[in-house]
Amino acid sequence: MKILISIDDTDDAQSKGTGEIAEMLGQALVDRGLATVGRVTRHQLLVHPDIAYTSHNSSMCFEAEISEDALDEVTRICADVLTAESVEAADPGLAVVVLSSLADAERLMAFGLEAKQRVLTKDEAYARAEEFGVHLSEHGGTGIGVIGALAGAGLRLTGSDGRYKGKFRLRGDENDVATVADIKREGVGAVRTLEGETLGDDERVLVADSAKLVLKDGAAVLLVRPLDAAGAAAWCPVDRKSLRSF
Amino acid sequence: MTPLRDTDAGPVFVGSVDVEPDVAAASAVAAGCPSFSLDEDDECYIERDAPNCFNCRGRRWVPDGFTCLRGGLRP
Repeated sequence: MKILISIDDTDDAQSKGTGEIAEMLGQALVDRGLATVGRVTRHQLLVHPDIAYTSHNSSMCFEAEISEDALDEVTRICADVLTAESVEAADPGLAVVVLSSLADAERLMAFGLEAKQRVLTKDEAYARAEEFGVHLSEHGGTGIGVIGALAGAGLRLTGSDGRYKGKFRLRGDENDVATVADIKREGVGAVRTLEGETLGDDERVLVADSAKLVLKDGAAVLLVRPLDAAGAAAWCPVDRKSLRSF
Repeated sequence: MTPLRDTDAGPVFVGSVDVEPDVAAASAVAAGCPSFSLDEDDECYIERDAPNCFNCRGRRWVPDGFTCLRGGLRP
């Protein structure tokens, strides 16, 4: 069965980041033969003076495929790794969502979107998690990270929020050019412009550098911009700045 | 000139990553800052080839910019 594992508030300004810990959780499950895991996505939450966060206020989420009888063990291992890897000053939270038994997916998504708009409370997060049938637990400090953990799962579930952690290496020809069809064969769902135009399979993209992907319409999407000078490719990945709003 | 605004919580860098002089100002601050450390790649919004506050692990985003957790921003 498919589950979402989401965490928040694990770090301080010196420690390893929450994204790295999310990857460690996934690896711990894979190493024990308990799961196959997907890529981690980062979800930006509200930046507000009344919210305690380290530097970005973002949560991290990934999908895992597990057997039904492994849920308790998977949850326990995630909790153990989260507790061990989070810094003392952090307030980590963990959400585990079983997609097949989720009581109200729409409302979980709404909670995630709400967390981008207003300051939410721990009580609200726990109340919603109970309603939705979602595991939500805190693992140190004030435990305020449960809000972001639940919100991260909701945002991931929308299929159109955030960006994938890490870079995606794309293979091109001798001129570092790949067609959209080539890029899609590497596991990218679509290639689009920032304005939302989806490129056809024959379009050619300069892929000299590693690219970052965003989560859009349920797929990993490579965002591109037109190249100024006509050449072997008409498009290239957008720059870092353009990804800030994702 | 460094685009700083004084607040009760300390100086806030209110420059934009989209404005070249602001990026240059943040670069100048980071170049002279002993506390600069590069944040992880996923959190960097400009190229990582030279120190810049926009890419520092010690900056904390706030609604209108960022503060410095390491005291590196001074009016």
